[in-house]
Amino acid sequence: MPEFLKEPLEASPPPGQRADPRQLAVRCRGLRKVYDGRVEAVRGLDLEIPQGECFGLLGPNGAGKTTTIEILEGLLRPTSGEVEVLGERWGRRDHELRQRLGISLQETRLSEKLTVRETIRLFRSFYRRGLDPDATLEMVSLGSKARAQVGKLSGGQRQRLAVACALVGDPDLLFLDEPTTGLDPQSRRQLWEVIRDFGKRGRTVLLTTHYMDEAERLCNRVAIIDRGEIIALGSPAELISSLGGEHVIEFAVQSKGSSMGEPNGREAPAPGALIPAIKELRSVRAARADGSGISLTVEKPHLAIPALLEALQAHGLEIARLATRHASLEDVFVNLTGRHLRDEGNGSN
Amino acid sequence: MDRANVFLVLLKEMREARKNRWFLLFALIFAGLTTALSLVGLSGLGTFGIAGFGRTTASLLNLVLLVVPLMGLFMGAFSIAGEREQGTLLTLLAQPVVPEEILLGKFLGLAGALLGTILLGFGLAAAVIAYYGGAAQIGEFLILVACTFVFGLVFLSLGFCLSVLSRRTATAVGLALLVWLGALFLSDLGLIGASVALQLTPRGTLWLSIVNPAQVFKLLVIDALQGNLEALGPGGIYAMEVFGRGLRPLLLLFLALWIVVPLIFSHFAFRRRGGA
Repeated sequence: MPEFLKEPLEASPPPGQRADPRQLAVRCRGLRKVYDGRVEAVRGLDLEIPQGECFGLLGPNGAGKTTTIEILEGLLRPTSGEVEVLGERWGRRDHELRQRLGISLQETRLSEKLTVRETIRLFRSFYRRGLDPDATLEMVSLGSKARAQVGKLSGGQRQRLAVACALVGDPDLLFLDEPTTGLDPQSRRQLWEVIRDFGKRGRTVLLTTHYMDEAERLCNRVAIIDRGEIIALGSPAELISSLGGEHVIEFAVQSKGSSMGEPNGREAPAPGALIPAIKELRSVRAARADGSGISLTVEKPHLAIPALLEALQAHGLEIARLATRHASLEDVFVNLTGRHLRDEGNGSN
Repeated sequence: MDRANVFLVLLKEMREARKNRWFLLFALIFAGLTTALSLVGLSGLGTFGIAGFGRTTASLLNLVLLVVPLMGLFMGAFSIAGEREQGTLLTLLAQPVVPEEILLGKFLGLAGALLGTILLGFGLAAAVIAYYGGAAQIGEFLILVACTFVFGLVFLSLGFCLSVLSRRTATAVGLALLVWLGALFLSDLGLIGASVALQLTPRGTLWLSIVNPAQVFKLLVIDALQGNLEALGPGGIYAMEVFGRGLRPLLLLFLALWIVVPLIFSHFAFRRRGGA
């Protein structure tokens, strides 16, 4: 190993509250990206992210999240629109700006022939100041893999190494494009802790995800993107409360007396046919058909469920399946678009 | 441009080359061929009484003409297109490194790796020759080594340029093979054919031949080893008469242009295309 890479690298000053929420970490106006003159991936997006915030771009695959984040990262040129990152525009002092950014791409590919330690040291060397490479590896639980070749790491380990490479420059603004996709639950939680710790030091995080729970747990605010446009913006709690109720009741019905697979000769009505009546029930804020069942957004489940059972009995129906849960950002998305995030295709832009 | 970043990319490239199986295979083949050729060249030593280095240097020239361009072209062709295809180029571009630093670092790293291969091959050959035939005429051998490195850089630069222009590694490698065939085989035939068909003057033949870096290299090495170009016929004699002592610097300048021009072109193409 070359001598200069063995020398201790200059560590960052002790973490402090560097963020000034009055300053914007990211600002974009009228952002638009058209591929090949035909496919409009981003359609006039406006966004303002104050410093110190953990902001999530949430949406299904193909919604335009990656295109947006890559434009903000300075890796893609927008077709039109303005972008400012940490008060700078791309194309002026890019090198200086990149010194303050940490970027983990959707599929950060690292040279498979280098070892984990060689890789993290290489990335650290690009920055004038930053974290200790070995300590950063420990942070993402890869300390024991320091001597392993990147090509021999599992998918989850590579993903964690990619995040470590984004963190090692101790950036003011961290871009994470779907950081936990493909990770096992334990690795996801580990990575969430790393991101939370980073945010606690007053740094800004912009992440994209299609995991609702991830956005809810990590982000101060989220923008839900669909087909290149922001369709909702706010804190997870605000967006969920915009549904009018914080609880969801999901149920299916069957004719009275029949059991699953044993019809008693009378067909249960289609879910859609029941909605007008159910919508009027006590504490119900919204109702929609969801596959073979019905999904209700309710304010107080303890009031709504008895009312629901009573109404079904009056129609000669009974519950075949019933579940209650807290409303999530998924419900917000479904409410706004009529589609589930998980129904979308696998393509990504 | 930050020299430290260029150096970092250079080191990364050399580390990767060291662990690359294709690269190691090339190095071994080259070393094997140079050593084998040296042994064959030395087999007539007793009969003719010719010192080892002088005799084998000439035979190594043909090997260099065939193998080194292929090595340079392949190394260059795999470089940018390979990283683009694997997605590692975009990762690199997302760091505080400017495209010029990446290009120069990668080129210099590959140049270092190429030099390593050439030195390994010639080093083994030199050891064999020195053991059996002594160290006489080693100067000529060293001239061939130096010229070979410059010659390798020409094709590395061309391969690099093809790599920047190609989205896929397979395309870059395919184009590299075409360049190799064109420079090493078709140009010789084309030169002979054109000389006969167009009844070219010695001047015309000379200028036509120095368009091809392989011919320039051949002229340079033969001139350096033999002190004249009579073996190359009227074109060679004309070159000696017209340029005299200025011929070698001129030929070196041509080779340098063949290195620099594709690199400049690569720079503009890379700025335009980026990691896509």
